[in-house]
Amino acid sequence: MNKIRYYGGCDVGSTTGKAVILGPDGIAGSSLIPSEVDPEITARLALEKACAAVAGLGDIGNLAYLIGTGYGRNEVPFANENISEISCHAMGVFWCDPSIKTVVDIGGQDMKAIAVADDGTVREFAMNDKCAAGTGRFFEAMSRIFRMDLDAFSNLSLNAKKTIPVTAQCSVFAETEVISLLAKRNPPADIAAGIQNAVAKRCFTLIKRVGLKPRLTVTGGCAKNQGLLVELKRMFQIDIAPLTIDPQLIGALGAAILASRKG
Amino acid sequence: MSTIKPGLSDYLLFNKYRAINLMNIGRMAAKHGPLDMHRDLKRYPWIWDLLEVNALLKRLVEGRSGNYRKAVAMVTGGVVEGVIELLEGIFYRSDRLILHEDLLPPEIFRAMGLQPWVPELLGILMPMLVPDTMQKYLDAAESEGIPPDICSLPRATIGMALKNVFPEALAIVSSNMPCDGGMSSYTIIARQMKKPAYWVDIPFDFKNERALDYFAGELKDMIAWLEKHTPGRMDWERLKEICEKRNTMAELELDIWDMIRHRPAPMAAEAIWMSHLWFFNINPGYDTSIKLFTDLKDLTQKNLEANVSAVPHEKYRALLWNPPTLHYIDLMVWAERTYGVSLILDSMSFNRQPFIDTATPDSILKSLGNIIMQGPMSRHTRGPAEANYFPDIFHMVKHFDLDMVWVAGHIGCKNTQAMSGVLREKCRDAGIPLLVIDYDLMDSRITPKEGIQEQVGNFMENIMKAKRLF
Amino acid sequence: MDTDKWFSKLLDEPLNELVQKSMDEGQIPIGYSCSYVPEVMLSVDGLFPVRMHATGIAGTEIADNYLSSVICSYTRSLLEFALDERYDFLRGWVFAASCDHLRRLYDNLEYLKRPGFSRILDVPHKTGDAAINWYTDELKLFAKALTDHFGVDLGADALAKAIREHNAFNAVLRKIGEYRSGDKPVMTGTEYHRLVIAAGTSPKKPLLPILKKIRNDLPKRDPLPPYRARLLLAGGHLDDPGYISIIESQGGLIVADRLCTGSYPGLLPIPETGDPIAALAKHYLTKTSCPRMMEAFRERAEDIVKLARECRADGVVIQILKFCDTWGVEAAAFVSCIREAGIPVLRLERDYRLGGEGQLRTRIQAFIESMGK
Repeated sequence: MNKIRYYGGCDVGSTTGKAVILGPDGIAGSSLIPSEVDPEITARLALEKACAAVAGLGDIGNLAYLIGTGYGRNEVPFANENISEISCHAMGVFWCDPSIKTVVDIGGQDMKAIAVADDGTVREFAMNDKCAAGTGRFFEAMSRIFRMDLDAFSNLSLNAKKTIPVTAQCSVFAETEVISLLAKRNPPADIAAGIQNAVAKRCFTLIKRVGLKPRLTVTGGCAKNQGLLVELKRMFQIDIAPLTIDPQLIGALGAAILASRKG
Repeated sequence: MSTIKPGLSDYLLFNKYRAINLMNIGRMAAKHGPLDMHRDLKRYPWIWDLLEVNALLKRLVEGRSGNYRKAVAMVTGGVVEGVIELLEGIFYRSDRLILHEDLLPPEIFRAMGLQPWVPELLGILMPMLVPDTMQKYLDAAESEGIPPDICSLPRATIGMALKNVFPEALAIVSSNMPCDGGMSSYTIIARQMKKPAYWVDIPFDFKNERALDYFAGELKDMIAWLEKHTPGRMDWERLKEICEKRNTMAELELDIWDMIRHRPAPMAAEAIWMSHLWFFNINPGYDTSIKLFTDLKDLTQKNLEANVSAVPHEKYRALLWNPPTLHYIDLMVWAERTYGVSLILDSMSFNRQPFIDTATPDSILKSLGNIIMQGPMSRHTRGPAEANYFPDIFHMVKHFDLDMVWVAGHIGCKNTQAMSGVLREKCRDAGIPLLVIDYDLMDSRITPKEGIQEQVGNFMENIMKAKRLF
Repeated sequence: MDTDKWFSKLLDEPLNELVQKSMDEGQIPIGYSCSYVPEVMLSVDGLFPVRMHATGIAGTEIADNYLSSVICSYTRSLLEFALDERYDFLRGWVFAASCDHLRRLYDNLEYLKRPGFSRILDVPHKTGDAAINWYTDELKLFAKALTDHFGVDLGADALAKAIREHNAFNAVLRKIGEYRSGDKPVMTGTEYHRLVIAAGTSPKKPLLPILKKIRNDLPKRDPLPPYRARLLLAGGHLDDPGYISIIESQGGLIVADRLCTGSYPGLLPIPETGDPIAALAKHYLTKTSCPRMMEAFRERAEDIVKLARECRADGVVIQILKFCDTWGVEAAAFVSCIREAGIPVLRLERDYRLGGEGQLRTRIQAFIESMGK
């Protein structure tokens, strides 16, 4: 009997590590863990956890081919290759739903807009990595100001009666602004709506740079932020295409798919 | 086409040019004498940075071989000689020294018997030699209240004026080129140096006789002003001679440009852009400049005939828009080796008005005016963009058979920044891959070398689907 | 009628009540964005000028995508409003190639949204005879383009009439301005700026009787309550009286200004004799105080010092739009010149959209305190 070949993708992000194992029937295992200080350890832990979920696979060394991606991709010594997360997100999304042509990936510390070509490769991309405004870290900082956990903050704007404008050009200024708005006793939900609106505007600018072609989806950790999704939908006047798997795993999935074409 | 790996002859060539540079520098120092040299090194501390030229030579010839390597070494050596001549101008001809903004025609100043010094020159040269060296001048300008968003070239130039490291000059001539930041910087420079200053005005919409007459009139007034404020006197015969020699340089350059249309290109990168940047802007009409372009043409021709490509494994041909990445000047050396990218031509070299009509003084001034108005930087920062900016980009891509456009997106170049949105859409429509590198011309604190590599890498691997060659 | 409120409302929208009324009467609104554009030439029969503003702009996301975020926020705001169809009522617009930012705004608009009539005036960077001749020719070409497109009369008589009306209108504005500068001002800088901006952004004919009434009523007003300091406000484009009101809320009364959107020196009369176009070219080139003019730094600096002394200003506040290259550099030099003249000076950078009010208040308050007031 031929041995089953499994392919691995490991996305070492700034705040989380993700791994996806692809088998003959699709996704065989996956994992999502908080990042360690050392990206190599993050990668190892994430992969070990994902491999453990696949019966009969054993350890990382048994993967037929492994591709590392994400911010810490250069620090995954046991990977066969590393590919940028831009190509991996495009491929991951394409695999889930080839009708999606535009992706906005909002991770822990950067934001990217990707135009996907008809074969799942990247047609064009734009990045904002200079400033944390509008990224996962920004939302974490905001939720701390509101004394809430991230999930509660993500849903807060859904109850807003109106949107109080907030500048999100810079996360430091945004924090000052939000603190003074709260001090003036504005309803927290309305301020939260302003924050979501400001981040959506940043996405808008980025997407405009690559050209918006439907359908549009959001990947990365912030894809779970309901308030942001509602705001994006309102701004773009189109639905945000849902993904069949956890949007935070898309980068790792894309890496695993690219690995399966190599092995 | 075959390619050549660096071999013993390449190693010897590098050492030969290194020795020539050292010899030229040594000769200059010996001529000046130890005491005067010591005094001037204190007066002009940036001379220390200029001594790093062989480190630059090493970075630029790295991994390059044969005639291409030789051409790059030759251009670098020629720049060294040019700089030495300028320094000797400061040392021995200070009674005829004037400062002039970098886009004004040196042909005129030379013909007047004046010794020109371009304040911006150091801001262009020094980051190539010592990448972080301009930071102290940038900070000096900022602490005097110059906003950090002004282009770092005029900002660093202001910083140098404030730190009093420019030579004493009789007079200053400036203009409204190429941008508001550059134009405004001379308000501070003239005020700081307390010298009489004259400004030349270049119209916005320049493609007509009216603009040409106006600008030629401006040049005439500038000459009259200089004759009043300096011992310089216009020698029209001398000007004619300089311009005719410049025409010879332009003919040679056009021949080279014709040859690099060939795929893969027999010559590339610094051999093309640095030769234009220095010799047409600083030493036009010099016999040594004609010699250099003759030799460059010869090397290019040899490569073409022997079927040798400048960049081994030329896979992608690039256009560089905007000035090159000064603080990471060996970007192309890296891109050549990493992805097989050949830099064919750039916006600082390409022009459509190369020749001067030397029939009469008026025709010379008009032609010089035309060369400036229609020349790099000036042409692309004025006149409707629809007429000048985009057509040049698309013409170059087609004419030189280029695969992609790289914009060195210097953060301080507002003229370029403000066109990127439209350029993106136009390139998308035309199917031309576009890379805009976010960085600052000379301040590596904005985007370090690694950040530039990452942006290029992301573009090459994701959009061009390039594989790393090693 | 609450005059303050009525004037404030005029500034709320580019398409304000008076603009709408004039359009209903068949008049044609033409937008312009820079003081070098001779609004007199847009004030001939059938046309009226509207200085473009983007009051109430919330953000410039789409404009940033085109102009980038390192361009001055006034031009970005204009582009955003244009793309947001807020200037669709204009039948044409006229820009001046006065700075990189306006030139690139024009380039982007030509690509993104072009009205029936669009033009950019080639303004020289000098004010000598050659430059005046050049601008005279430029304005002649402009007059012809307006006539060709709109069929309006820009002949010598029509222009002479427009100049007379312009002078008469500005004489009223100038006179009103004196009531904020005297020993016992009866009018705040905020109120005055509101009138000046309304005058630029609205048709002048319906505004004139209202301004005349204000001028006639001013001598009857009581002096303003005590203020802590008299200030001169200098700088580039400012069309938001709210900014001045924050300064004045801290006790710093703006008694004079050197703003390109303010009272000086563009309100001075244009010669009513001779060739009207040549007179216009000379007036607009020489009477618009902008750092984009080369060679005239010293005159501009001396002019500010002189004005500050004339109106007995305790200090000078220079406000500039962030990313403005010409003002950015010039302000640095101004600060040292004004200080050398012994006058306290404060330099402020701002965004077109009013923000950071708290910080502005603090800075003004500290500036006034530092003057020992």
